[in-house]
Amino acid sequence: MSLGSMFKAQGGVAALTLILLLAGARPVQAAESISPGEVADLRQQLADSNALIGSLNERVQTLEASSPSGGGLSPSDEARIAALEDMFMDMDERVGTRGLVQAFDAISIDIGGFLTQSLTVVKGDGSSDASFNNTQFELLIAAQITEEVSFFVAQGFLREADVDFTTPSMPFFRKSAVRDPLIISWANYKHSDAVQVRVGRFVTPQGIINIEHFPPVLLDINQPMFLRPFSGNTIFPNFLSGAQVHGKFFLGENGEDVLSYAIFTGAFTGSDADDFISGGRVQLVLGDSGFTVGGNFTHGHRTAMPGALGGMSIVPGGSLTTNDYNAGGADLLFDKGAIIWKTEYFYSGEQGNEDRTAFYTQPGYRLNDKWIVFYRYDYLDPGQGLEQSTEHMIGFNFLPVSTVRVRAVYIRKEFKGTDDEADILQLSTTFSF
Amino acid sequence: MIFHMPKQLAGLMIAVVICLGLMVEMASGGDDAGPVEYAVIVNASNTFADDASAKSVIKQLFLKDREEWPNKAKDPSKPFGRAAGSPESKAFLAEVLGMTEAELAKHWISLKQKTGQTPPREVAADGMLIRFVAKFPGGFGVVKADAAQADGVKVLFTFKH
Repeated sequence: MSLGSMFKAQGGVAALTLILLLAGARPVQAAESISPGEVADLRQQLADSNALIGSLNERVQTLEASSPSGGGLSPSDEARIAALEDMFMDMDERVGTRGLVQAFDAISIDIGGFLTQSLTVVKGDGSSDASFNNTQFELLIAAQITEEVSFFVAQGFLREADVDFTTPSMPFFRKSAVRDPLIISWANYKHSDAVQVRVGRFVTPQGIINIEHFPPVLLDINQPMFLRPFSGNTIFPNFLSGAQVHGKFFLGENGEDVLSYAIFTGAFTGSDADDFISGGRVQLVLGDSGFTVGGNFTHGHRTAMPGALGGMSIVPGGSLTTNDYNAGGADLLFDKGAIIWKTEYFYSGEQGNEDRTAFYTQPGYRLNDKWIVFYRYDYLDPGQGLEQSTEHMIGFNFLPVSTVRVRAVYIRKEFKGTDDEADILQLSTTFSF
Repeated sequence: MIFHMPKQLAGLMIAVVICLGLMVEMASGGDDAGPVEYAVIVNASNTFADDASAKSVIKQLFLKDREEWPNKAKDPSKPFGRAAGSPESKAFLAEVLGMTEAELAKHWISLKQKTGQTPPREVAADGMLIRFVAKFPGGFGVVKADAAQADGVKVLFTFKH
């Protein structure tokens, strides 16, 4: 029964009841000869009843006009239909007549990537050089295979001209080299937030910037000196092929403090295949304070297998010495409001050879959502008979949108052994999707 | 000829101007509808009900810093977002996440580059979000408080913005 007919029926019942009451009363009244006053009362009651029926009819008509069956829509229904139409149009615009991509066997698959291009001018005491020295495209693919198992790969396509500081006063760019490294490729099994297992090629979970790793989030595309050259092993390897167990615990009264850990073992591609490198990291995020502290340890074996210098590094990709080593480090991050400040310190005890030390501190200030200025003091003693080096870097980032980052940095590079200095100006931009 | 305005008349005019200014101010203040109440809803089967930690847990789950509910529910969390720029999204960002849009964008870029994780699916309408949350045991999202009373979902906490 519709709302309108229900109200009509109720009105009819009320009228009928009144009539029956009046009709039922009348014979008795008639038999007793009704007085004129009583007749007036009855007429008044009848008039009141008619007024009530009229009022109910008006109400029914109002309800009919506002109900869906009456042809109108309520404001909330109109809003819902408008939202659904917007959603449909959005889906239609995205899909159109194109075919849909499906994964072979996965719940979902996501594809992204980024492109970085840099222009670098380097000036030594004796000569200078300039080059569009780095074009880097990385394709990222993530797949959720089951609720517990995920997969992630980063395939790089690089065209790089490395700056050569072999003679620090005469830096120059080498010929461009084309590389297509498989940078990351891992599968992750999640037993719980506290216990997850990752196998494949992964970023070595050490420090702050090595884990951040990707140019779309870095203030400077040249990572600190101890992380150069890309894919090197100056203190610890940037990447490993192996396995790691990692997880998180939520501590404190409201679970706001996050303690995370990673324990790993694997092989570094710039060393002998049986040179296993193992270690761990513990990190504590102190609620919403902005502070994150971390501790790191790595034990491994280096086999002399020097590669070429690259990526503004004073250290070759492989080691110049053969020895075991134990490296430890600590890091502190403050990231809250306008301030972002990263500091890392690492020391590596090289058995039978010169120890290695690395330190940097990088305070940054967000002027607003689009502009960031920063400075970095960077020190590296790479051991291996190589000279120490210091860098002072000052620069800014401009983010016209969150997925585009434009950088300009000036670097003052000092070589301790020869007292040579170099000035480097670098412009770079990263587009990510 | 120089016109000299009586001091009383000048004072009266100043008073009238001040009163008009106050009336305009009050009128514009009257247009402000005041804070709106929002509700974070979860699936009706969800047994997590810790008032003290609810907001920080929801923040961690939404940002995918954690994927399990603290009560060790079997089903993983499944956050749903609201359309960027919508009143629900702005309120959730400010009152629960405590972040700016730029900070949130940076968070998702960082996460998707490091682990391939993507932001929660955005749902435009309250009604659809309620259906999604009712469908998935680990589901949650934010709606206007007056829309939160529906079958299959329950309110975890409310907030005003």
